[in-house]
Amino acid sequence: MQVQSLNFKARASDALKDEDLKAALGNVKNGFIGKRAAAVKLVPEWEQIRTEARDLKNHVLENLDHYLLAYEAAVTDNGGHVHWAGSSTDANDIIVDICRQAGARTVTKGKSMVGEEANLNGALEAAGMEAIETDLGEYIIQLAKEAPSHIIAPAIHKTKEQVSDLFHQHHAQYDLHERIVDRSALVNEARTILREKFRCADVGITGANFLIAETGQHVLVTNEGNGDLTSNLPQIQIVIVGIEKVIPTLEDASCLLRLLARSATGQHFSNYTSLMSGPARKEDLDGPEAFHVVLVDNHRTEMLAGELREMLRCFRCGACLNHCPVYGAVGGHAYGWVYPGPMGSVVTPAMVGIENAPDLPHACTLNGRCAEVCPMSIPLPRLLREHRRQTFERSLQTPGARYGLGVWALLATRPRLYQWTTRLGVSLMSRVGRKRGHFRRLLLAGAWTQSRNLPSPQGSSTFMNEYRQRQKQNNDTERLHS
Amino acid sequence: MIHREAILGRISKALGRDGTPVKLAEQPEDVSTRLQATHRHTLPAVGADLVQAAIDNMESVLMSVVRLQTSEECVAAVQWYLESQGIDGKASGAVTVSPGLASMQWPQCYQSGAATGLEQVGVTACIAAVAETGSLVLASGSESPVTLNFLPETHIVVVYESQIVRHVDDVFPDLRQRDKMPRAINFVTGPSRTADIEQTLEIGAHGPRRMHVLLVAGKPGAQYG
Repeated sequence: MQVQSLNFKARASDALKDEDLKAALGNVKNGFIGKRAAAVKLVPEWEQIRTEARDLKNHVLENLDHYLLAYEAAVTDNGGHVHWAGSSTDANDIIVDICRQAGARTVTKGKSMVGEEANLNGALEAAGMEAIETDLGEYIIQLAKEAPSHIIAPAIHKTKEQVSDLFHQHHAQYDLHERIVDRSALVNEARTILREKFRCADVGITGANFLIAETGQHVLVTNEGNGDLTSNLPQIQIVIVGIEKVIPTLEDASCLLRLLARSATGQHFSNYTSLMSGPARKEDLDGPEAFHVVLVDNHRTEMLAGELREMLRCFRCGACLNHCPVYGAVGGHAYGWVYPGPMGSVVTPAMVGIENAPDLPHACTLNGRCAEVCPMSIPLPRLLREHRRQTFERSLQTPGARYGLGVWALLATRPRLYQWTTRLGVSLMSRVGRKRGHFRRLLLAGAWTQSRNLPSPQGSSTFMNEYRQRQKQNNDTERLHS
Repeated sequence: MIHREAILGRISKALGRDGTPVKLAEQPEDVSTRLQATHRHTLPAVGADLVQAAIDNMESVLMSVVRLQTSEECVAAVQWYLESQGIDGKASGAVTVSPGLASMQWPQCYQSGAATGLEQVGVTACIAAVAETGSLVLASGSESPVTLNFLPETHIVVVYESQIVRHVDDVFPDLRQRDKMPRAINFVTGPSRTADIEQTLEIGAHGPRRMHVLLVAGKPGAQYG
């Protein structure tokens, strides 16, 4: 999909006015956040597992090429084909080529964020094939021609009435004309239609949660079972996956899976956790005839080289989105690309260029909740600050913002000047505003006071004044006692 | 191949090496060791009574469990369950049994093999069940089609108490003993579900709507192994 991250501010303002979106995002607090907390509480070993997972992934990243080669050798040994794609476009070309050679007309897809990065559906459709998303949420947004607004609940912004409208409009082609609004009836209707697609698909494409170097297997996690139907029914199975997903062994997978399901949905384990490798064996009763994996770089090696390496530990659970107050207020579409929330604000600029998403690293209050809940201990606020440093270095902000930051830097690096200025400011504001108790409008802070009042200082003392006085008092008391 | 070398070159450079793509044969020792010696991570505690822990977890993910004394009771238990759910198992093509369970005395009208996509019920064996998560572990092979785990609306699984292991990690040693890993290993933890519409749980998204476990005391007989 087209990158719209340059318009973050405008899109965020629109989102704030959207009542349906507000209601939909309200569900996050009661749903994801509470369920995760309850699930984590039941595992006293959580922090230990988290530390081990971080170390494990760091070890992999330090040896990434060796593990990828081990994985490649194991897949080949199992009769599968491994392809390498430098960019998203390369990945699309490889996949379209495989589908064309197979004479494919219908392609079923399991949800894949790497596929979203590449707009793989667009590429398949341009090549004259029907590409059908089979995860219910992805299917809904595909009908709506929208990007996912959450990495594990792509249609979280849609009300059931909106889903009902979409189904009514798009399912007429299957001779289903009755409008339904009941949630389970909607799920059933999608099931019926997608079952037929599963049955007649020539190629099935999914992502992968992990690649196991030891065995050449990939791990695929879903709750609906759509990933398994996509993988097992068509003659050709294709996996599209980022190069950072490789891990050493099966035990490493089980360690990460313990964190993934709980962080994502608060489940102990996702409904369907499948390990797969290669085409059907001679003796098998079903399964695909050919198996392909496409390993995608798409700027990941740049992240590996730079300050953002830790971001490659991310396994896309979505916990940082759920706990982010900015995401909670504006939803996923405001971020303008496929990855929203804190992880999106780090990944999007790295993949589409910071000049195309300069506002995203600033869509953050640095409250730190994302880093607190991140199962892979990714220091998201620090990585966002790194992006901010770059936007400043490359002069990507408005002149006003740069000027402001310059003034701030001048003061902040000169303590005496800073204290003198704040004393002056506080005493001025106190004199002007003490009576009313607050400011409704303030020079240079118009945007801030637009939505709330600033309480006015009730004395002319600053924090440093108070601090010094207390220190002095403490010292005096100590002297008295000694 | 151009992409492969380019990506490997970029990784090498990113890791502070000279940018030359590495080869499989150049695998450093700590990587080889890590790949060969199984390294177990911290495992969450699981209740002392494995069977009870497994049952509790299976029920918490909405699978029903019935305990049987011997495998001979399986056929009747399936029929009783289908009746209780209002499913006509006698209808032609309604039930498909995994070939791995073919030696049980099933009614003539049950078919054996991979899923047809038209049956209502699939009955399969498993290679293990996990107490930690309540998962059933199903592996593809000459006697166990994968499609039977996903296409029918009702999935009934025969599990022996001896097949219950404590942690997910305990499933792996037996798999490693085999000449080759099965193509597909499915950890199934409850009927298919989705919460993609308004974050409200709905059962039966794409896979089975119901899952029923026949938990048989003791070990699988040689004929069912």
